[in-house]
Amino acid sequence: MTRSSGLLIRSAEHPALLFLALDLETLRNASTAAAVCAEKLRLPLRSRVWRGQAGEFQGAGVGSSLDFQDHRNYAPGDDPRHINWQAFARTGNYTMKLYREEVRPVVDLVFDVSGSMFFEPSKARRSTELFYFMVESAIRSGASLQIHLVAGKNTRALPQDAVYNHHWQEAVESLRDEHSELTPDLAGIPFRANAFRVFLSDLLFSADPVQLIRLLGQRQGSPVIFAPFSRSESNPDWQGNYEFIDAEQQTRHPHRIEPAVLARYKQAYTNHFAAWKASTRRYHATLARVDADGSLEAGLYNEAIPTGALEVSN
Amino acid sequence: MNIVLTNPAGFFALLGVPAVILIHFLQRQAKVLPVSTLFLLAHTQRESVSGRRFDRLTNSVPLWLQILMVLLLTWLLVLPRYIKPNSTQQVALVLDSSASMSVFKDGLADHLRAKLPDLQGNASRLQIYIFESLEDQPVIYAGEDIEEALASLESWSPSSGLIDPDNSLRLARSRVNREGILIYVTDSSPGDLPFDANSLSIGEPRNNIGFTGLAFDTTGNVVRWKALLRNYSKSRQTRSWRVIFPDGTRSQPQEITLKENSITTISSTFPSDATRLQVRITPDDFPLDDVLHIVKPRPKTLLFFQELTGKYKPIGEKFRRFRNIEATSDLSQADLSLVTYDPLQPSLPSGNGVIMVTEAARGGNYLRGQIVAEKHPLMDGVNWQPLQARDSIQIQLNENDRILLWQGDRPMIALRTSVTPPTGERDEPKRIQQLIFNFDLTLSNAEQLECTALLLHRFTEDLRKLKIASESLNTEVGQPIQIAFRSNSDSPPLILTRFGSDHQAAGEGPLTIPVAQASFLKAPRTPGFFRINQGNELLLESGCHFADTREADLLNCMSEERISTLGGEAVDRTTNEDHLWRLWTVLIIVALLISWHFIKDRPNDEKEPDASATAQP
Repeated sequence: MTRSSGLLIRSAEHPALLFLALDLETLRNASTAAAVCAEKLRLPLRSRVWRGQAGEFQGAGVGSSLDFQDHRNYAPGDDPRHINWQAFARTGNYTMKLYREEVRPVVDLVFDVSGSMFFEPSKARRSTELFYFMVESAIRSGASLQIHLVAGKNTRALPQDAVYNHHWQEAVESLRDEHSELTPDLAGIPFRANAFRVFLSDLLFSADPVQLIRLLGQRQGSPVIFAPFSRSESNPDWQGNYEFIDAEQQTRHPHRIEPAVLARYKQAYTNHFAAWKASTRRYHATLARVDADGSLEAGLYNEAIPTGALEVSN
Repeated sequence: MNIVLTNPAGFFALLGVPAVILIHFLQRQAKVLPVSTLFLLAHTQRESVSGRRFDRLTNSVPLWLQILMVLLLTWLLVLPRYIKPNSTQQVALVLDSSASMSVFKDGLADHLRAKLPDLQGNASRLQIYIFESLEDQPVIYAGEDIEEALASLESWSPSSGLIDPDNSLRLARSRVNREGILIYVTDSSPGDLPFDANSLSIGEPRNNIGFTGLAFDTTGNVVRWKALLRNYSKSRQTRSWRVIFPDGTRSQPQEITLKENSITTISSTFPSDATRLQVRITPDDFPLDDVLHIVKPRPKTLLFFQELTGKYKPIGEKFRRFRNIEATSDLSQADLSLVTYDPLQPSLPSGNGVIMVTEAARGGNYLRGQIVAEKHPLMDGVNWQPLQARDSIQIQLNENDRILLWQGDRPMIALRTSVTPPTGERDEPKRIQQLIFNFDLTLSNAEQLECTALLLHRFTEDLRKLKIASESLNTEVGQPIQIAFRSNSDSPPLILTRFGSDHQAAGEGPLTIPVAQASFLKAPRTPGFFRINQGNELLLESGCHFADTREADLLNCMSEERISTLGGEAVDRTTNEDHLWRLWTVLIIVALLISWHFIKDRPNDEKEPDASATAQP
């Protein structure tokens, strides 16, 4: 990859592709903004019962946490530390004091790194901030985090170190393909059971939402979708002749935009996300669209909090 | 449709349409913009690679308004006018009556058939007048039907000499109104024509050989005719000629070759028993001068009675030798008398005569004083200064006598004119002319002077013209003929009868000429023999031939068209303007303002997006 003076990067493998990349300082700023925001907001991991490795979250079974759950009679093999000696004094029977199990939540973060996520500076910054925020929030929650990058049918697991040292963009570049499909293919991602599945994508592809949400929700997964968007997508002011460059494949498409055409486009845009919202409600997923304009915190407060995609930290 | 576009050049304004489209293409240069939602656009708009430029032009209000402006502007510039329902365009054609037009007459109808419909212009009707350049000829056609007008030309036969068309053009211009079209149709370049006349020349150079003149040489009783034959072409020409006699017999053809632009003479004698004959050469494109109709000349003979004293006898002998004069001893039969004046017997003849003073004395001194001739046809061009006369007795002249010559205060020659009342033998008054020599000719040198003989010759010729008698002479076509005829109220009209001529039109009967118009008699317009009778009395027998060398020369004929288009006044007269032009103008302004309004409200981000600027954070 060759880095230009600005933020445009032309792929060395595919010169026709032109991507918008963020420099290191921008990445650091985004990471900082995400960290600040993660102090106030967090993924709603505590709102569900987890099973799995010991951790800080209340598990579905009995554990060694401080949260009292029930009493039962002692059985051989029980941990004597949990015998309720006060009850034994009153009743002479060994009664076991049961505490809630504390487990580690499982978070599968799927990051759509297609060109449309980075095709303009504000959206690229907001996508990056959301990515850092998800990682930060999951780590702060002590969750078991697995990060998957997806670009069309190409997927790659991203180690967390790559996030910390801001080298994840190199992995992103290796994923992009000149002929990559527009629709991210999640079938190849090894989702873990009972995972909290965060899908970070702008959803700007024409695939059926139901199919994708089902993939996210397989194996008792809890899908939450964060969809960054820019005003240039939702409310463009096009008029006249345009030669549109596809953000994904860099192909040129001449169009003449009249007011009627623009109105039909806006209606199609609205219908597209209305279909996504309907599908997420139907399959108990959560969709939060985050405005690329303004601060990250404001964007998250506007829709992520009301829809329950995030919650406010205590 | 009753609309005429008076300025077709205004259609060039339609070039504004592609110009507007081009400008819109240039103004609406596509902006390059990266987008992430192309799949949503694909749902809303058909994308056609092949027809995309047309798609770019649809539904653009300024574009359509500007095209509308161009169309309206074009409509205004082509100056549409509505034809008035009852408008008439008058066209007057003056046809050159000169004989050379007969060569090109056959193509005249085709030329006019091609031209006349265009001359109608914007008018709903076309009024056609066809005149001849001979102003005394009737109108050939007046009406609205082109085919009828052309059919009327079939009977038109141009045969006159060179004609100045000004009078006919003036007559034709007065017939059509000021906006009417006046066209002079000829076969050569007409030069500058008056009365705003246009010209249409339909000729072309042709070779021609023809007769140009006729002369006679009489020796005794043998009359020899001599005809001039001219080659008008620029090349050597060979023809044959022959004589056709009245009984239909023909002489052997004789070949003759003429060099380019040369003249030669052919001649032969009149048969003693023939009074007329035809001479023909091989026909060519111009047939009028290919035949010569000749009659043996037979002038009227004057009978004179002389009563002269002895010393005047030589003068009487000389007078007798004048041509076509015969002496008679019967005074009542004589046309004039030649008498001397004797003061002792001062009676003068009652009829025409020449009266000369005879001085019995030896004679006086030579008269002194300046010799002055009065202006009179008899004295025209005659020099009397050599006259030397002696003083003698004088005839008592009266105040009505016209003095022709003076010497000092003495009248030397006088002309006495009187009218005698009708008598029992004559039913009309008779004009009497007497030439009076008021000095003794024998005592002067007048007998040796040419002017005396010339005066006497002129006087007798005048009397000959007035004599009502038969004569034969050769004339040219259309030549005015002066013949003596009976002119009292009971006199029968003159009858002109043509005979023995191939040019005599079928069904053409004798031409009756009233006595009142007989003074304007002219020879026929086509070659041939003719005779003129008054009652049963033959007055003239003649053969007329064509001899106008200007018309026979066809080398200067040419084709040329100088017909100017209809003037603005004619257009105004036959059409009405488009009264909605104000509305169209307002619509143009409104369209301009609306278009400007749309362009003004166009968003400012029409500028080409800068990719590097787009990438700035």
